[in-house]
Amino acid sequence: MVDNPDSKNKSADAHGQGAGMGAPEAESWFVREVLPLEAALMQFLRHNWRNESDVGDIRQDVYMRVFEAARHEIPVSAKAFVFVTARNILIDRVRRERIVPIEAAADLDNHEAISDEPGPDRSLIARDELRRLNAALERLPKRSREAFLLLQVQDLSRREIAARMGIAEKTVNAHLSDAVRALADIVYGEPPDMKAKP
Amino acid sequence: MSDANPQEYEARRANLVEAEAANWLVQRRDWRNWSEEDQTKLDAWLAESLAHQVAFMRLEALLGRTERLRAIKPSLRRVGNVWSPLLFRAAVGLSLVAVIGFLTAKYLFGSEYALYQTAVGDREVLSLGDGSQIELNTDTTLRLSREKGQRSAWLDRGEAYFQIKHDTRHPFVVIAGENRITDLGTKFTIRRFSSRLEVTLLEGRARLDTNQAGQSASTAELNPGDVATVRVGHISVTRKNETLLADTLGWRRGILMFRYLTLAEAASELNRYNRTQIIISDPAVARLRIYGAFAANDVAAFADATEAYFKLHVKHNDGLVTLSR
Repeated sequence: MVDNPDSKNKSADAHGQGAGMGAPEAESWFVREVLPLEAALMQFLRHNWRNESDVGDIRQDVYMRVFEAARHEIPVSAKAFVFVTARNILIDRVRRERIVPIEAAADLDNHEAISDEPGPDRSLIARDELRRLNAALERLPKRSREAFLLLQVQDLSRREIAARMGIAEKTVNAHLSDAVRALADIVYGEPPDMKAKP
Repeated sequence: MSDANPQEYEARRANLVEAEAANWLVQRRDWRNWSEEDQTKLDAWLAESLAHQVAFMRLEALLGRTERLRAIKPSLRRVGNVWSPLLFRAAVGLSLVAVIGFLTAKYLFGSEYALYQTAVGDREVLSLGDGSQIELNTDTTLRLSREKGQRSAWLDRGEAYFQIKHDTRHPFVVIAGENRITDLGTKFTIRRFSSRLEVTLLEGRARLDTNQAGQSASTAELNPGDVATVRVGHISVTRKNETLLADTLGWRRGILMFRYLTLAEAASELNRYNRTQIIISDPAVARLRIYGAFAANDVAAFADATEAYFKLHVKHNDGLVTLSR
């Protein structure tokens, strides 16, 4: 890798107000510890919240609170912290909306059963990563996937992609944004498929 | 939910925020068209709210994952087993191969050159008296001029990474066959293939001159990110972004990055680093494409991955690994 202390400083500054105390640590902690919990979190939220269309917003709210807290102090256990936060947010919502989803009440106290034991073997995850990314790519709409591969793998500019695909640059943008969002939902939001083994 | 109090949940707009975040990321990923001004705007957008930061972080991490699988811990750890920092330091400190090479050179060439060679799978770092450094990759031969005040190297075979301390009066020159690379204060790599030469400039500037017999001489000025390829005396220059540039230097950490490379290409890369050679005879298998970071010296791990991923049949036999359906 090229040693370039300048560029490091730049990226630390690049996050506006996030560049406050401990922000880079909070960011890397968030990416490393919190995002991998997304599949479990989504499962928890879906199970405890009837209105599916709110789940994305609730997740976002959980992430905001977790990240904000981490900027002050990194929680000892990401898992416990994320789920306690999610639980509190759900309870707040329940109160605010004065509706009590019956299944929520019981379940909200049970979630702590989610253990903190180490996940599956790391090497398995590593090997699985290849397969997962490819499987996720295959599930994208054809045009989105095509645009995404041209960008990420062929490293073409958006203008070149537009020319190559015979579509407007604006459409390329839309395809690319869709691809990134859909991939994030698949890769983070869905439980990994561990069934295929060598 | 539609009559919700707007200040209650900033997150209510999660979908919208995410769309904006994706849009920013895509724009930034198109790095050639990304300006300082764009960066300022993005910074401002991020500073606007925590929701923006969180959404951006999440998608950025996703994009990073599709971009460099080498960040996965286990593959790094696997590399570490073999090329631990300690071992690596020892290799640099002792430079046994280099010392032996130097003695031979002195004997063979008088004091004109120092000869350095690395074996298959090895790497060497040469520290020059002026603070410059040259790192030799696997199976590489390099000669250094020992003339006082002359800063020249001959890359006779293989690949090397140069970090050159600039000296206007004594520019550093690398000669590779009919090609000459003159540094203007730089970090660059040069790789010799059987029928072509590739020069990648990471920092600073350099000039590339080629003068193959029977061809007219040509010259290219290289800027950071430029990759110059010389084929039969003809230079073509393309550009790489930071990620791809980092890939080019992956070998310095013992890592090879394959981005949808065919198995044939990936195997021939790995074969440069290992005595154990990978053989693929089925053209349909050779055409399969693979994505991922691999330890340069771990043929078995690569074979395992193809086995797991493509359900290939792997046969180990006497220094050969055969991949087939």
